[in-house]
Amino acid sequence: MDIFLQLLISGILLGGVYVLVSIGLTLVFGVMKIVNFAHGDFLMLGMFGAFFLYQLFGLNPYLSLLIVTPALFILGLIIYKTIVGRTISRPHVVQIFSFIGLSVAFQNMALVLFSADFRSINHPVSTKVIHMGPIHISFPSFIAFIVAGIITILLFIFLYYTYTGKAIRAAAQDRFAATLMGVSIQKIYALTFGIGIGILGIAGSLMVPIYSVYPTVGEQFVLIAFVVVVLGGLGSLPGAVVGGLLIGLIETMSSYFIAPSMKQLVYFCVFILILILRPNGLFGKEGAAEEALE
Amino acid sequence: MMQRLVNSKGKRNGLVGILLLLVLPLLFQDQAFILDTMILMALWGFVACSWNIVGGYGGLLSLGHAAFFGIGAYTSTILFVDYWVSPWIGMIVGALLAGLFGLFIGIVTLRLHGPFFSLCTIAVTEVLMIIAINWQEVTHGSAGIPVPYRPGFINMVFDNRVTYFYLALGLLAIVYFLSLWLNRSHFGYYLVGLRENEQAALALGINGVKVRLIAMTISSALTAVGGTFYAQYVGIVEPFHEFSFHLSAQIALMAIIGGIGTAGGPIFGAILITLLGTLLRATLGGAHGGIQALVYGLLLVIVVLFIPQGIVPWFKQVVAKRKKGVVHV
Amino acid sequence: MFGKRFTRLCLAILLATSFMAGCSSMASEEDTLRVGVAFPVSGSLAKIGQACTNGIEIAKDIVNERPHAKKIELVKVDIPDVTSAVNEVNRLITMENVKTIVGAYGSPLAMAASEITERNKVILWEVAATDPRLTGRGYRYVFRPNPNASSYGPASIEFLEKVVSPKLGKKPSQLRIALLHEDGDFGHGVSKATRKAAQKAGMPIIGELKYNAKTTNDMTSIILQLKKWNPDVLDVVQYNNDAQLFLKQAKQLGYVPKVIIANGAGQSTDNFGDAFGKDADGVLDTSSAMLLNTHALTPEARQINEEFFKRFQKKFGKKPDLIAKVAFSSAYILFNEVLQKTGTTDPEKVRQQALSLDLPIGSTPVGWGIHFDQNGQNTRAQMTVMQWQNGKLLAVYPEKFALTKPIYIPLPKWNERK
Repeated sequence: MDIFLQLLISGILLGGVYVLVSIGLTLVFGVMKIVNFAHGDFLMLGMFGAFFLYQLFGLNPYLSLLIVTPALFILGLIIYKTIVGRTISRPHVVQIFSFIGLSVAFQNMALVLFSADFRSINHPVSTKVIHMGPIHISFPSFIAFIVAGIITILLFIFLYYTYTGKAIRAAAQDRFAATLMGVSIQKIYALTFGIGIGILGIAGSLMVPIYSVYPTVGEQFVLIAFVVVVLGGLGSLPGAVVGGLLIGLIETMSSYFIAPSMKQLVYFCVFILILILRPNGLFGKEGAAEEALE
Repeated sequence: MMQRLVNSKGKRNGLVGILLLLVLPLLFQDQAFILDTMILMALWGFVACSWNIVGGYGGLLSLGHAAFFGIGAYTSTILFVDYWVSPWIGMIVGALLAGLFGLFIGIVTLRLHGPFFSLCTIAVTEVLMIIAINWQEVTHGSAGIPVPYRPGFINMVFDNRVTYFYLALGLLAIVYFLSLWLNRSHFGYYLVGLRENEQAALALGINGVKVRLIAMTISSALTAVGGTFYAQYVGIVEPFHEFSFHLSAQIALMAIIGGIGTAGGPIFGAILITLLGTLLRATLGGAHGGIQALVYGLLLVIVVLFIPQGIVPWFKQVVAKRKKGVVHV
Repeated sequence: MFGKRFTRLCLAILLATSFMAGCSSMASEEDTLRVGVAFPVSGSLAKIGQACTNGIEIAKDIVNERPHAKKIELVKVDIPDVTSAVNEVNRLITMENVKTIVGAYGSPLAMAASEITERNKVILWEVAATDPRLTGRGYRYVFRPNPNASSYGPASIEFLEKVVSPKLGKKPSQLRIALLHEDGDFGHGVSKATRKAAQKAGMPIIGELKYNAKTTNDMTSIILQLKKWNPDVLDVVQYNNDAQLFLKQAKQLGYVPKVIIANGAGQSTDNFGDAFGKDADGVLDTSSAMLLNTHALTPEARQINEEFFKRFQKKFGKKPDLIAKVAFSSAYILFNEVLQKTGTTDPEKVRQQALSLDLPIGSTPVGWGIHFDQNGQNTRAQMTVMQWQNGKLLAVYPEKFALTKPIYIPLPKWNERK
């Protein structure tokens, strides 16, 4: 029983990390309908940012969050203006491959600038644990989990209770109608992309105490982020949360009860099944998958 | 037919071109590097053209074609190494298996479009990679399977590289002519029609399901043949490359850069990308690790953004504008 | 049907090939010894590929600066994957006219490269790949000074038998071992041999867990499984990010077996020591020797060992990795014991000279002797068991290489450290 509880907790905490990584993606994918294959690499940049702030200035990653997040937000805006904005009304081919090219560029830029070393911050918080009876709760994962929740709530409030947020949702629902309503699509898209990437800054800072940082670390998370987003439903915040937690649980459970080498198989099969049976995901709108992508 | 061939200027040029292609490798017999690059160009051209059937003409952006490539490579190699079956037969078996698998995937993804289709293909390939790593009794696991060097026609291992080139060229010719046929056949029109406007095509009575499935099956079977060739040429198959996203992306990329949906575009893209890779590695490679890949990534972004229709159609447009004519892309 | 586009296609191919034909450089064989260096210096294997290349550079520097040395010139290429390996090796052979190549680290890369080198009768001097099949095919021109995957297991088991068992007060047949490894060919290869060696020694293997290093974000389930099995010894084969994740999470979950013994890779790099500091103390690592008792080395090996560390720090501004030292040692043998003696990179002469080498254990900075079998595998690739102590990887076994005694057998509970 103890083992099951521990697996449960660890699975949820892992899910929390996945939620953090996927929220930005569901926003971008859901609103702009573009597949950002470079998502993991933006995360990598965020992680490196937090890492170097720690190494060079001794800045606690939970504080460097305040620097890395706006930095990534601005990076997102820049990338949007220079590259992504040009791909909006173009065929999927253009979008997908410009992101793939960006991904390759980022990974190798990091390789050239930061070298291939696998770095970890050697801060006591990395291995700090909260004990709840026989259960061990990893402190940094716990913080990541809490912050994921906070971010989701904040984002939700933003999207549903502010004018800009509503504009974003309008653009997601129907681009042309939104334009008719006076929404500047380019500005909204830029903002959305910036927010999506900015959230990765938060994620990166919070993940640095947990995971090692290296140029291709994005690959560890990018596919999972897509699985979560599709599972939860494009553009759906509650979907990203439920999806992330679910995948975290599925991964941890199947790793224990089946085999660690098979856990990926399990969640990819789940992914494929969802795509076949319910492509809109758990919380997505009906028909989103078919009509969505114009 | 010969009369028509010789009379028309374009066709005469074509013949000269073919003769050149056939003779060229003989000139470079001793230059293994050049020959090797030519072989790779032909191989990737073949695979990219096969992808193009589904990705270009069909408009379904598959980012999981490595699945079929890997099935081909593994099938022929397993049959060759463990059961002493000639790779020629193994190639056919591989193509059949891949074709069936492609059919299966086609059925399973019928409802999916755009990025969802792509994501599904990616997931399928990942699943195959995991199976290849873990099903050790059959696939020899992550260590992969080296193809024994026993030259001989039956073994599809040739001492003389030129033979590889001719083989690749032959395969390329087959798929090229197939694409040309697609350009003007009913089937091709149906396929393109489905791509351009699915609902209109269906309304016109085109059997969307049948067309799409046939395209998937053919494309996957051909890609598998490419996999077999690769295994025989390079001499080792292993799951991390044969079922990698990188491979799938590369195949699609070549078709896209060259000109998606055109017969010769993917060949051009294959030539270009192979050359680019070789060039970048030769000039920037030994230096600071990663610079050539960085440049590659940046170039990719630039080309995709500014020449999205592909180099071949773009080039035709440029030429047409020069001549102040109109060109159908 | 053929028309302009087709012609243009053919023209493009013609242009391409003539361009490539231009990309050649024919240096005279007389003045320098041109040696190819082929490693993945970009992509996911970059860290090790770069470390290898750096180690080889140092070997070249040392040899070239000796008086009367026939200068060695390195022709470096990047081979991030199998296709580029084939392409670049072909280029080295035909365009750069190289007859001896040092490479390739990744086993599939080495396998593919060796196909080409063997067919062209060019020497492939492997420095790091561990797939046993590389030297199992009877190829004449492949040489591998470093141990292959089947050497790690027996060395670890011997250490467990001779040193750990007595310290834990148990008989070898009572030492319960669990295997944890990444699912690539290195993980599989090493674990297979470990299992065999354990069986021979009568040590029970109570379980085996494998996982994919690149995509494992959480090892809780693995650690819980290990807690349930409760082995005495945990034998791991891990790469960098998973090695770090594992130890971190093991600490968080309060799990520690009596002994953790690793097999090169993740636990051999400076990154591991940097990441954990004192928490890494006590972790054992079987591989080629990093820091060892240099009195066990021949005087020459001792001297170049020192030079290696000094020069590496000076040239690259950081401490070297174990793999860099391995590559250095391998390359040094090629450059000094073979090429300087033959005066040419001619494969037949290199081969003969290499086969004639008969250097005792301790002749290289990593502790190996050199004696190649007919297949090109070095049979004196001595393994050393090392242990992390105070941020350094020190040799603790065999006795003559040991710099210090092993500590922390058994490993202390996490909260009892420091």
